[in-house]
Amino acid sequence: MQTRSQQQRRQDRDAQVAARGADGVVLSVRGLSVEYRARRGGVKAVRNVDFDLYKGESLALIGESGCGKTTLATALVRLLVRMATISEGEVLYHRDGKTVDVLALNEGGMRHFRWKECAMVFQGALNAFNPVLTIARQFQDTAQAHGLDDKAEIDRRSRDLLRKVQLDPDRVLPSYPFELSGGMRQRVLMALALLLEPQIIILDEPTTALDILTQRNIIDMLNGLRKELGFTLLFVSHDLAMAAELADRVATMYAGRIIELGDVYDIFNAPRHPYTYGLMKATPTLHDDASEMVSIEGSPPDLIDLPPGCKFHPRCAFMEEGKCTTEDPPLLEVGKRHTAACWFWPKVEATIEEEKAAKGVSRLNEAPAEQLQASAPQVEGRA
Amino acid sequence: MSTTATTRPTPATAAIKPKAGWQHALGDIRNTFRMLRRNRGGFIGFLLVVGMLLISFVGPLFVELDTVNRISRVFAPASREFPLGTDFQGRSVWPQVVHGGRQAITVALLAATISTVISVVLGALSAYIGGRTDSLITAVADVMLTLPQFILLAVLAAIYRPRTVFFLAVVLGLITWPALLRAVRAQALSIRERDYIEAARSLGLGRWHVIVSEILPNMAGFIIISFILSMTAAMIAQVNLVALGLVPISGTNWAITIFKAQQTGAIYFPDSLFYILGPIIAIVIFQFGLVLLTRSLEEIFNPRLRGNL
Amino acid sequence: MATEIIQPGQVRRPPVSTPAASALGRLLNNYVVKSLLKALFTIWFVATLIFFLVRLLPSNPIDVFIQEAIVMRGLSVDQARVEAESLFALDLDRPLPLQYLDYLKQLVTFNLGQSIVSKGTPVSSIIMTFLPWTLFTVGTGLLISFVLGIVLGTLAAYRRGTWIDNVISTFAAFMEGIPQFVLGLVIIVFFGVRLQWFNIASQRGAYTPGIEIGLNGPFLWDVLKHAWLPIVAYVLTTVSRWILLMKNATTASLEEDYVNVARARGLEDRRIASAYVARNSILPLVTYAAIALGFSLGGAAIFEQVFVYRGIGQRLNEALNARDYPVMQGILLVLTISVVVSNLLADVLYGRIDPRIRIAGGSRR
Repeated sequence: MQTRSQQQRRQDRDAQVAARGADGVVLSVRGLSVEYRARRGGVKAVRNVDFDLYKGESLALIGESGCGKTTLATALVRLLVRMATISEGEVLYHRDGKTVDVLALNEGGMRHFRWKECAMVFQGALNAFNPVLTIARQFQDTAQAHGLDDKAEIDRRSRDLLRKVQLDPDRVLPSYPFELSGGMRQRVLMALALLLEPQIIILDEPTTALDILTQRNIIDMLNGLRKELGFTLLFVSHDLAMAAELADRVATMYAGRIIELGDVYDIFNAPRHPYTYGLMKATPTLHDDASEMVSIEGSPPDLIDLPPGCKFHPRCAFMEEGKCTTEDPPLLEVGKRHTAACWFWPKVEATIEEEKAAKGVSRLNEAPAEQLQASAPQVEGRA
Repeated sequence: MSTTATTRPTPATAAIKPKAGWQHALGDIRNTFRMLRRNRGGFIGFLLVVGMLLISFVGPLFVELDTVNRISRVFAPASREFPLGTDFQGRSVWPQVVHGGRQAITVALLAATISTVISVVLGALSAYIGGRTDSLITAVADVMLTLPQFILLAVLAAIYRPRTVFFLAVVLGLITWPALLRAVRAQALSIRERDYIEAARSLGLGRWHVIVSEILPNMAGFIIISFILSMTAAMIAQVNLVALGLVPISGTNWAITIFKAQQTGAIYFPDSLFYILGPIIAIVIFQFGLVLLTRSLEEIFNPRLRGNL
Repeated sequence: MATEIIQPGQVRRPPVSTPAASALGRLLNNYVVKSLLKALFTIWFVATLIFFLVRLLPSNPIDVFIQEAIVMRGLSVDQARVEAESLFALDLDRPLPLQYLDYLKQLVTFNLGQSIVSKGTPVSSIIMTFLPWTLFTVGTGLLISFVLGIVLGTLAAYRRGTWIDNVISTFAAFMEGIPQFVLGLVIIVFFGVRLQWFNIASQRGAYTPGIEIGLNGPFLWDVLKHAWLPIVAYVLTTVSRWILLMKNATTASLEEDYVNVARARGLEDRRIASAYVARNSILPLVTYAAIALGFSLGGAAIFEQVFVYRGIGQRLNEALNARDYPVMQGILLVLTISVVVSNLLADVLYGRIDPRIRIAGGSRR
């Protein structure tokens, strides 16, 4: 496994951002809100989310369960469950200088958008394939649905991609899903996602339910594929270790909103939102000492009856009566390409600096995020 | 013969959430009632069943059976005096409908009880003991499931010429248990694997104690549904057997009233419409109520509404 | 990082054991062989059951005959006895085990004995005469109700919670509990007598007496004219179960991950509905076919009586009322074999259409 130094990564990142220029956006999301109809009232699962996805980058959505990350990802391809509706917002998709309003697409247009432009891979690859059709048939189905009818061409492409995900096409293509192991199915699904060369791939918890070794393999495979094929990746995970390894940028979600967004090393080493800071502290490998591990007090808020002001204030150590309890902070500029929704983010910064000084080390340079292990306990369990 | 042993719970049973102890079972029943009130179909079904039970078991106290033969008034149309008209001997039909439910429903209840007890006991034992006993019980159940049950029932009735319809209840109970057995066994198997059963066993609690106090309460919902389904099946078989003339045509029973109406040609007389419809409607309402009840109980116990053979 | 090319063993195929040692074991483990053995066992079981039930009766057919002779024809007890003894040339006095062996031997050669009542008529020829009509009507009815149930069940599942679902599901629940006899009477009273949609009398029999029998248009048309009433009745009594099963299976399928993924893959709705939802939902229904056939054959005994259709059900009723034991047991046995065979066919068909069984072997239950 390659380990690049932190500086190296930062330089790469700067170069990457400089290279893409002003029009490198492939997906821009503005004011997106999703509501679930429940007996007690509307559940605001996603609230007023803004973000841009840049060409070729990898963005991670992290947060505790129930913070809306999966709902947000699903809303982008409009595959929400029946009780959920997109109540507000705009999703614009850009390709080759053309712009498509995703939320305004009709059924047919949406069908073509899915997988061909933006492949959404749901959680749980174990059940992602039709049990009564062979893998080859399911590749064909996918290609034919998007107008690719040349069987030889489909076969050639499928084989090529299966080899890329390190599977033997001769064995996999004629198999039925039940003949493949979980890790293999996850790889096949990845290959299937790449079949139509989509510009964006969305992965929801790509490694949950897989054993540690397989998780490791999948992460390495994804990194390799991304370098080779250059697709844009948006993935949802509550596994911070995975986010650290796979993401260029990280967005932290809380109570349906993005509350911090920045380059991966900034989020991990210099978080500015108390919630992100709490997540990092709750992950043992970020600290040398397990005894320092502190979980975030309390539980995520009731999405039907949200607290006033900042939604995190009931659980926040930096909370001050007044501003925090009355006014929900917007995303504020806190650094280079780094925003956080906290009125008192300088206090978070000061605390982190103090902590580092107390240890006599500057974490910024010495604790590369890569050191996180994929085996790191997940936030979920301790929230 | 190799048995096709089920080791996984059927989806329908798996969805029923297990809890421990009889208190929980009682709590579940109370909960179920609350949810039943909210479920429109289930509530209607509940009312229909309770209504027919009241008419059949309390009604006879208020409506006297008409035993007077009136040669001049046979097949009379519905009137104030005879709300549903008269039968082939000029007796009022309405009291026959009121009195005809008791026997019909009792037979159904008895058959369902026998079938449920057999399947629960054998199913729990089969799962709990395992091995040869299990293989044998499931093999027999498999075979019985494949038989054309009504034909077998008819042949049995023809051979033994039962003197009462209650014979019918017993035979019905004796041949309809295999369907429920599979489900009970599957459920018991899945429950057996759970920790608290292991704990109960390691405490040295006996086999029956474990079955009675742990396995059965966890299956209460499923057993209730199966019980009601057995009742509808028993009612159907009962009416059909009477129609074939294979059980004694004596006493007052919805099925017998219908059978006599058909035999005496009442179905061709325009005036006798209610004579034939009275008991038919009674049966149909009762059955419809039972089926509605099971459907909504299934929805309550199993939100995903999996298929259930 | 590790390049993981999958090894042959990684694909989960059933373990292959040494050929010589377990040839028999493998054969016994074969899905079709398993189903076949189960079918044979069931037939033997029923045959034996019938034998002991019929031979170990508390009363016997001669009593019935004598009683009837006295009541109907006014013979004295002695006269009736003498006539009965000459008519029933049956040796019921032989030891039971020998009778049982005789019986099994005869079964294998499809010699089911002779009718006691219509003396001299072999039971097998009675069955050959009447069974085809019942299999024709019951089979057609089941086929129609299967298709109808799948269509309506799918519709109800896709339109869950709407009025369409309510109408379909309520109809299914309503039909579910109705005894065949009641349904038959209602059809006759309302559609025959009141509405006069058809003439009850001309419906009787399997075809109009005197018509030229053969593969000609008028005859086939006549057969259909007599058969449609029982067919409709079979459809009405079995369709509710198909609807319920299909609705539940489809509802479950619609929530499966692979259906959701298929949508994400941009597949056309029609393709998803057929190859992804319907195909997986119909699979478990196939296994119910045999039970449905058994149920319908039970219904045949009722409907053929009510509609006076000359099929095996009506013939069975005659035998039941006359206590014509050989006919009774022959019909019960043949109907059981029909159900067992259709169960076997369903098993094999299921194995063909579900790759999990076709490839991995094993049992569907």
